[in-house]
Amino acid sequence: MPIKPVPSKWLYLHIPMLCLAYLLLLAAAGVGLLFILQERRIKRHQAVVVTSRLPSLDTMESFIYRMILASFPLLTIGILLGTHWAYMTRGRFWEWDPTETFSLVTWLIYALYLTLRWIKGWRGRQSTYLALAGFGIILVTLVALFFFSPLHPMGKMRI
Amino acid sequence: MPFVLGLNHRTAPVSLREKLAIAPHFLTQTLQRLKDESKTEELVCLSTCNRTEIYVQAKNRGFAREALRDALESHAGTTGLSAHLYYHEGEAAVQHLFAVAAGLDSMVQGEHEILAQVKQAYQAAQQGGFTGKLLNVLFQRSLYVGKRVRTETGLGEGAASVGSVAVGMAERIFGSLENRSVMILGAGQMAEVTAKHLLAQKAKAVLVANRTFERACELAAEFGGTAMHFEEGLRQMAEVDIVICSTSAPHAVIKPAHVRDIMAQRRGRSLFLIDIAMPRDVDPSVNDIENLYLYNIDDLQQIVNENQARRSREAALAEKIVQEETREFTRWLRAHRAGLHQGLRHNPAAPAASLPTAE
Repeated sequence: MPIKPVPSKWLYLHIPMLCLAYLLLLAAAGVGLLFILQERRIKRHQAVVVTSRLPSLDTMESFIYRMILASFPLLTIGILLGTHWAYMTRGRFWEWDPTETFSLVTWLIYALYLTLRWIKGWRGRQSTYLALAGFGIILVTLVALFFFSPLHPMGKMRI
Repeated sequence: MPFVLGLNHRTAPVSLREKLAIAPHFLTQTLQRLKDESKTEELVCLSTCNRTEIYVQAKNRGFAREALRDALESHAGTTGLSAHLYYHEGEAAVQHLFAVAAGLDSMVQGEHEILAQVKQAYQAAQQGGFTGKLLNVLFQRSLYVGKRVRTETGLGEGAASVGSVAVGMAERIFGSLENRSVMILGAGQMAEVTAKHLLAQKAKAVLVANRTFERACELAAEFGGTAMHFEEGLRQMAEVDIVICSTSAPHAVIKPAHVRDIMAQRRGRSLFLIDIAMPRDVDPSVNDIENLYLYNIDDLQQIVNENQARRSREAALAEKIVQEETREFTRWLRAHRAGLHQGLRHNPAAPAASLPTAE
């Protein structure tokens, strides 16, 4: 499919915004792994916890939450810009190409994380697993982006 | 060759140690008197609540030793001090100072305070002009050894009592305990001790709930908290962060269903349950509930035991460093006495061949 020139410069923000969102979510996922590790140790009464230098569960948990909270608007606007870009170049907002699909799943997972936290008070282990799942989908999205996405031809892109 | 004459918490009772404790603002004056009386070239006096030691460099060691002992006896106002005094010279004195600086000789092994005290003792003596080449190098070296032990070993790390393990765990869950609230459910002796540990870390708002309301009031008064009836306490569990259970009930009084209710009200905030009652107060399956951490007395004791094993391993490691550094210092000392100018190596374990040996 031929790709037409982008009509408006600010649509390029689509890319850096999503990159930034992914970086924040990477930080959330990294701390998330440490949280899962430490939470398990504490639950299982392991002595190593007392001398461990990891931050407290509370500190890690709220770090993960803040990262996700900060990334969510970026994620949302980044995806919306993408749909607008698609509309400008191809006349359709959404075409279910793999990158689009996985981005949507990512967005839904983090939306779920925030919703459950706000409404049902979901915290700790379960919600951290959700954050990790979200980042797993981001990794899939990136693979799709570079290898399987006809509409996001990163491999062939010239900057 | 340096020597050390002194007493510490192992050799002397507190009643004697306090007589020999030298206040910082008297230190210079005392050093001057000791120097005059014992005709020593260099001296440093290390006086803390657990020890009073004089490190000396003197030509006439025998005389200096006797004179210093007499001076200490007159300072303490007693005779018969000899039974409590230890005397080390040469390598043994060096090793003693290094062990002291490392915290190996402290009452609470691995405490950090002693290193600062060694530093202050040295600085006071040095500023008063009581030290020379030998004690300068020795004390600077001891500060280095103390730091090295601190960074390279975990000496003194890991809580050593049930109460301090409980505090350690609470801090791993909540971070700072400031503004975290504690509830005591059932006012046993151990609950009191554990609560004291937590309050020492600035935890607040003790709620005390007990079957006997009078006892709850007593304990609440002691901690400046609020007393309440036992059932009220069970309801209030949703409002606190840490619950210490120590009722004398013959069976579990805290059941999973109740705790699930409580957790639902807490909207995911973690709850730390410490069950030090025997028999246990909390149904063990409560630990399966999300965001809830249940420790019983055995869990805590198990961690204490593991920490003690760890502490003795770390102490062995620290002793190894002290010995290594003592050998290195002795090597320097011999060279120094022979008129050679050698440096002190920062990693004595490294092969000696790679070192510059002067002249």
